[in-house]
Amino acid sequence: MKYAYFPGCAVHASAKEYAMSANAVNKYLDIELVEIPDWNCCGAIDAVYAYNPLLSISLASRNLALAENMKMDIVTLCSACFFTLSRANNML
Amino acid sequence: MEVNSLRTITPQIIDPSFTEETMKLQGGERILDCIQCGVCAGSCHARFAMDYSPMQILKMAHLGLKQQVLSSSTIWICASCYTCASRCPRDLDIPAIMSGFKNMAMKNNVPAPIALKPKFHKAFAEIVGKYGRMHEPELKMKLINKTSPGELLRNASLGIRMFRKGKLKLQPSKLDPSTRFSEIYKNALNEEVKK
Repeated sequence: MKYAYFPGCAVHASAKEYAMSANAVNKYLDIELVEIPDWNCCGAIDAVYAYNPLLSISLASRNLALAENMKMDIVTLCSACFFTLSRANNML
Repeated sequence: MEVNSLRTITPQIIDPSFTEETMKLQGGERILDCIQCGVCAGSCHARFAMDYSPMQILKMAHLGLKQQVLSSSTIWICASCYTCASRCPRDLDIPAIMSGFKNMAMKNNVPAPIALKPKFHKAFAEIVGKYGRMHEPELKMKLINKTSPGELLRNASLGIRMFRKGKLKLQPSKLDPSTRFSEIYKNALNEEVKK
């Protein structure tokens, strides 16, 4: 199975070990994650949303649009990124 | 963090339009559905540090206590963990309402009890606008008190430990400049101002 993979800023840096363990599990589950090219910040569940809700939704929408181009379902490891993306998806 | 004792709601200035304002917020449309069951207050992991519980904040929004809600520490301490929202029997999106209150407090220039929080939101959005992604060391540098040597030392030692594990990137990862990310960012900001 191939999925469009949205890493998110934390998984790329300070939560690196989470990505490592997810990759190890994926090998056994026969899942391939293809990183979304040029992904941006998910729209940070609260950090950007409280500053400007519209900005948060637009950031998430850009990621959804990029994943749509890949014609694959989107997968993210970060629960906050997942929530922000699904919130934008519900709104659109 | 200091443990706050439970406060009771003592109505001061009542602003009836506040309830309507809250209902215009994303997730706040059904705020009057709240039955004050207390599940949100009971499940809140950060409750010990708040001055009012999430349940009390919702009640205060019903009553129209605008000033008290916007100056409470609760709205800033909420970590958006969504434990309350997933347990709420009336299916209210409580963290989104809290975010809405934060936004309202920042717009109305209500001083936050934790002065760092509004700065954090602003700095976060600025860095995302600059690179398209979060760059954690830069966010930290924007927020720490550079005049306090103790704070600088603590952060430096944490930074070194993180760097050794490859968890700290000195160079921010940037987006492809040919894509229209900055346009999206600017448009979203301008659209919000127009409202």
